[in-house]
Amino acid sequence: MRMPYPRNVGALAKAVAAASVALFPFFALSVAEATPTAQIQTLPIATTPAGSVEYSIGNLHIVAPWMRATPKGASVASGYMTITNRGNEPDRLLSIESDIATSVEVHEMSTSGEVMKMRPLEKPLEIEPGGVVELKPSGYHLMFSHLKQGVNAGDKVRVTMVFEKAGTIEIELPAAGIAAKGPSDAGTMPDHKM
Amino acid sequence: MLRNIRIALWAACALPLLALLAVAGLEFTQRTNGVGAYQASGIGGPFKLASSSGGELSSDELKGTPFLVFFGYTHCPDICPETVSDVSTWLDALGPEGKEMKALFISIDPERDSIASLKDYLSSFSDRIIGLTGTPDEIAQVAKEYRVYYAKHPTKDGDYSMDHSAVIYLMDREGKLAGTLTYDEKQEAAIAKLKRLLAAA
Repeated sequence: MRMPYPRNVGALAKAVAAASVALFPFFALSVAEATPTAQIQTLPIATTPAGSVEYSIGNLHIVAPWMRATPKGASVASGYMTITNRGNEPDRLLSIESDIATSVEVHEMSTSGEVMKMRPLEKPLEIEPGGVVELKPSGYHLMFSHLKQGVNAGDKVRVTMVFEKAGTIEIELPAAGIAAKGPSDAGTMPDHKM
Repeated sequence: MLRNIRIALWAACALPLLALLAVAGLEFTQRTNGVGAYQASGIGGPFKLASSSGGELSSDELKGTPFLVFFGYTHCPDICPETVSDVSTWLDALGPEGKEMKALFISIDPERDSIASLKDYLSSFSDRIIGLTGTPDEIAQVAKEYRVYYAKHPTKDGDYSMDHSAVIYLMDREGKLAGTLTYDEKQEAAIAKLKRLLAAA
């Protein structure tokens, strides 16, 4: 599913958005200092029957995070999940970090005809109020670049995501086998070896 | 004078329309004629590339052998590992009756994909998939023969990703195109096509 950005964002809103992105680190820092009770949520709140996990932070609900094991020597990997915004305001994914990669960005895979393209999003990924954004193969995904280590089936890859409104959340992406097609394979399917 | 301009304008409008019709017609005949039209496509051609199974592999050595061939690169996060793993699954599912089928993965990123890195990468999949790479010129040549589009797309960190055609070609024993598979092909459909390719004389 693709969630288009609102087309009617006025210049003022853009300026405010740009300023809030630019100022976010300072804002986050001051919040962290001022309110020691603000904590990074790290624990999954529930486990679904399929074995996938769910997280909640603020108005955001993250379901079925997963990724695939990487081929030997791979320099990149993709991560997937579904994010739902139960609030009344849009939220945006401002930054992502993981120990396994030098950088993690949201990319979009698109195909025109038979040609496949991979592009980083130009603006932070937005989750509209009441909206759902799916990160999945052949669509939006977390793109782990310059992997520092390979990902094996059964690994749980920690990722820290910073949302504009909901705040910072640390989640784990369970790694499925290399041939996995979806989150239900995560952690349950052995590596594809022949 | 005005009349001439009018004619010229009409012609300017009509030409692209005619071209569009021609393309649509071609597409239609290709879809309806099936294999025969594929063979008329001119896709495929001679090549000799460094092989992950040692030495070089040339198209001459593939005479009499049905094979599938697809293009990609090892720094590809999503579709390439998916395609390689799908092909692995299909070869697996074909079992002994598909033994003679060869599967080639040709790198369209020869600058980064050495034989060693291809070998490493493919070791995570079916050992029947042969990785091929070459000089940038050799890759450009084989991509041209197979009408495969590829282009570097620079990324912010000074690195690059590759845009590329993600189709899987099915080549018959004469090295002619017999069909295609897409990266999201359903397994039953893919295996049926592979079996048909194997059954063809």
